[in-house]
Amino acid sequence: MPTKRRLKKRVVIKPDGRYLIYYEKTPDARETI
Amino acid sequence: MSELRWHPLLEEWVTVAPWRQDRTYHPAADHCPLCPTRPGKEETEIPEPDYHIAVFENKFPSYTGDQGRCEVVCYTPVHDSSLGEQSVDHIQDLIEVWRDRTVELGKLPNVRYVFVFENRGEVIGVTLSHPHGQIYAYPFVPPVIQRELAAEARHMRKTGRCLYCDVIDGERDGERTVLRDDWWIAFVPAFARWPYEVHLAPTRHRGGLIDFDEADDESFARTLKGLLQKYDRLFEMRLPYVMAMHQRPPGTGAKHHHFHIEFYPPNRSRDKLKYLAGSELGAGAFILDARAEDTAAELRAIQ
Repeated sequence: MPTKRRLKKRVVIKPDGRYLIYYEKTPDARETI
Repeated sequence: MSELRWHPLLEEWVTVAPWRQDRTYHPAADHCPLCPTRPGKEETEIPEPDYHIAVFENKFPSYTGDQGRCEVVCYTPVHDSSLGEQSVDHIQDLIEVWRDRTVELGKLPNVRYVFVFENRGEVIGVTLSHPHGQIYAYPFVPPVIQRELAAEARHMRKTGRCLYCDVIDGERDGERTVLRDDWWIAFVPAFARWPYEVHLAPTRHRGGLIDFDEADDESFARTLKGLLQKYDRLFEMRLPYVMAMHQRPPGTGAKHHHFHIEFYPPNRSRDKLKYLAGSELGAGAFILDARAEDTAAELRAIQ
């Protein structure tokens, strides 16, 4: 059985063009990744 | 972009990335680029005042653009901590992050392998002490993984069985077992090349992070933490190590590969290190002055 999602992610682009991804714990954020 | 040069004698790629010479080198704790940005302080790699887990592109990458990616995984905003000091629940979150990055990086057109790893400790060459790991998305399958895949394919053709499942089956008597539960095992392999080398693996056949179920994740987090706690109690210090995840390459092939993590601590005692020297580096032949059965018993006895 596949694992349930525990995190949501938020992507931001840094001024030099590199990406930064925040993985945040949200109890009701399953299936958001 | 890096330059890939072919080693014709070893038949493997050497990656040349001269800009990495300028990478951040042992900054003071109050200038750590992996800490959150504190109000009124200079901006770090992570411009927010807090985070749970954060991933960003390495500022000094070995692979970028069409070649691949190099990412930094910040395990925690707490500077003076470590992977083994995180809760089982937090490590389960981290497993989800490793899985997500494996899937996303594996979709890039030229990526042939996604390698999750951690270098820990100054003697390993770590330049930032904040708890973090790395992910390399390579434009080729690295040579150690290639050799493993080839051996596993030969064993499968010959016996119809997974090679690594047979290795685990050989650990039934528990002499080299460090810890285990119903789903995962940590053991010093009979063929260990480092005194306190440990393999951590699911006992059921799984190829990669994307093949795990809930029970795998929970057991993985618990046994990983248990092993790292034993490591840090071994000599009552934060034991340096390399943690190398060997998962199957992206795509649907390599069903014969069995996911496992290899840990290579360089210590042979609290204050003595094993160095790779003439035989290991010059001839590729490891000489080990410890028996796997003895070091496993030592690790197993640590509560």
